Amino acid sequence: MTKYRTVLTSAALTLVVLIAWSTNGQIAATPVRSILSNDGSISGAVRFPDDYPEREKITTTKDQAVCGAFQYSESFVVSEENHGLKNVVVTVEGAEGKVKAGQAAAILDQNKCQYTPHVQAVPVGTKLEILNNDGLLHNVHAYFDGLDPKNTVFNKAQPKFLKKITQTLDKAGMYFFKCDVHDHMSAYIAVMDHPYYAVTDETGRFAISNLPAGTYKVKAWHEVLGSLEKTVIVESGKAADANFDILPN
Amino acid sequence: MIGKIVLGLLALFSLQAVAATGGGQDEDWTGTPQMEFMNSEIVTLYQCTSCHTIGERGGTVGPILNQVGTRRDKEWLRRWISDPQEVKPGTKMPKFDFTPEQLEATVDYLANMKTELHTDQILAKKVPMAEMGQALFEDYGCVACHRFGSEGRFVAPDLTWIGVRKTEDWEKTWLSAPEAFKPGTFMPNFHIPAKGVEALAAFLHTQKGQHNDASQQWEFRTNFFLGNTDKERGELVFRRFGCWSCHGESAVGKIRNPNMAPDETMPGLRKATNKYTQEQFSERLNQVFYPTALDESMPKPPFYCPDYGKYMDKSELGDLYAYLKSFAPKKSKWKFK
Repeated sequence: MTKYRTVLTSAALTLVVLIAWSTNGQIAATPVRSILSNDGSISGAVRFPDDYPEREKITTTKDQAVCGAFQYSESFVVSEENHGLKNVVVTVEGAEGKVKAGQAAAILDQNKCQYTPHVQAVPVGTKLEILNNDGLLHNVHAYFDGLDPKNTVFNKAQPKFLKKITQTLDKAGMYFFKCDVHDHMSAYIAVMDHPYYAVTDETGRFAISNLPAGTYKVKAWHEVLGSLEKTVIVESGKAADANFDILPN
Repeated sequence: MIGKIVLGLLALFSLQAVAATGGGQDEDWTGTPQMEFMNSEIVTLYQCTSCHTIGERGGTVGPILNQVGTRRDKEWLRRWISDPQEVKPGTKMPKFDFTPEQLEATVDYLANMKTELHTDQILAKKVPMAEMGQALFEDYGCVACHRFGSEGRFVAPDLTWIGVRKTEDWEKTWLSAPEAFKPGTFMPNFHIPAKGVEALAAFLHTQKGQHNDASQQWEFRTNFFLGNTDKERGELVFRRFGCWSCHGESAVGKIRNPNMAPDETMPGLRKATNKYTQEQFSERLNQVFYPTALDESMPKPPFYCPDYGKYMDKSELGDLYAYLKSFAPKKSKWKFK
C-alpha cells in the first residue's frame, strides 16, 4: 500500500514538473498553485492622507416626504478614524477558482430613495432581490459596463406595492443601477467569475482569503478614482499586504 | 443680483408647482378623460405622475400625456407599454408588469386622452404662414415632448433656437415623414397636410431665440436651489440651443447627417475640450460651420453648426465648455498610489 502511494506521489510530482517545463518558465508570471492548500491571503486598506474629501450633499427635487430634503453622496465615504475609504472593489486579477454562485440572494434595497448597499460584489449567477421599502414608484434601470443608454440591461418599474423584484446577474463585470424617477440614486454591483474579491468596509479595510500561493495582480476599483493594479506575492499560510494610498492629483 | 435672489426665494416656495405645471396655463380638467385616467386605479397604484404630467399635475421626466391619444394609436401604445426598451432602447420609461387586462385598460385610457385637432380651420384662416404654423404648433401640442421657451419637456429637442440651426426646407422634409428620414424615430407622423407642413416650417424658422429669456428663467427657477454647478448649467445650455439634436444625448454624436464626410454621422463632442481651449472653443462657435460634403454632386448635408457664439453670453459659453469637459477623461482631485 505504502509503495503504491509512493508511486502515485512521484507520478503527480512528475506531472507538475512536466507542466512547469512545458509552460517554458512562464509559470512564475501566472498564479502558481500550491498543491498543498489554498491558505494564503491578501489584506490591506485603501486610505486617504490627512486631508480627505467631505461627503457631498445632494439636494433632492421630488418626493421629499420620503427622500428627505437632501442626501449625502456615497462617492467618498471616508472614516474619520483612519481615513479609510469605503466601497472600493478589490479583486485578484487572473486568479482562478470556482465561483460560489447560487447560494443566498444578494439584496439591493431602496430605502428613503437610496440604494443599500451602494457597492457590493457577488459571484456570477447570483439572484438579486431588489426591494422597495419606500412606498412610492422607483424604476430600476440597470446598465452593464458604463452609463450609456445603449448599455441598458433592463429597466423595470417598481411601483409602491411591489416590494420585491428578482433578477439574475448572469454576466461577469460591473453593473450600474440608476433610478430615472429620482436622479440622485445610484449603485454598483461587481459580478465576479472567481472567488477572490472583497469590498472595503467603513474603515477602508479588506481581506481576501483562501488564495493559493503565487504572484498576483491585485486591482482596486473605485467609482470616482478609477482603478489601479499592484503586484502582490502570496506565500502559503501567510497574509500578504496590499495597501492602496490615495494622493492629491 | 438682488432681483435674482428674490426670484430664487419665490421659486423655493413654488418649486413643486413650477415643476408640475411646466409653466402651463390653468385649465379646468374636471370630467375629462385625462382626469378619469388621473383618478384611475392604474395611476393611483403605478404613479405614472411621478414622471408624466396629466392635467396640470405630475413630473417632468417624461412627455405630457394630455394629448397622447392624438399622437399615438392603440397599437403603438400597446407596443410601447409592453416593452419600452424594444421601441426606444435606453429609454427612461421602465417596463411595468401589467396583467393583460391592466395593459388594455391603460391603452384605452391613453387612446381616449385626445383633443380635437383644428387643422382645417387653422389652414383656412387668411393669416401669414408663420402665424398659421404657430396655431398648428399649439393645436398639436408639440410641447408634450419638445421644450419651447418656458414650456415643454426634455424628451425631444428644444425648439427655442430651431430657426438658427435648421433650414426651412429641411423642416418640411422632416415634418412630412419623420420615419422616412430616421427609421424608428420617436417622433410620430402627424400626417399634416402639405400646407400645414409649410406653415409649421415657416413658424419654426422664425424661432431664433425670442423665447430664450423665458426658457432661461424656467431653468433658473428650477435650478437655483439645486446646488447647480457650471457643468449642470452647461447641460441646460446644450439642450436649450439644441446642440443635443445633432451631437446627441450626453454629446455622444452618431446622429445621421446625409452626405457629410467622412461617414455621414455627426461627431460627438465628448473630446472637444481636448481639442480646443475655452477661448478657441468660443471663437469656433462664432462662425457658422458647414460640414464637408462626401459627394459634391449630391445635395449638401442638411445639418450645420450655427454661429451660436454670437447668441450665447460669456457665462453660457463657459458653462457649455465645462459640461463638455465633464466627458473628457476625468482628472479627479484624488488618485490611487
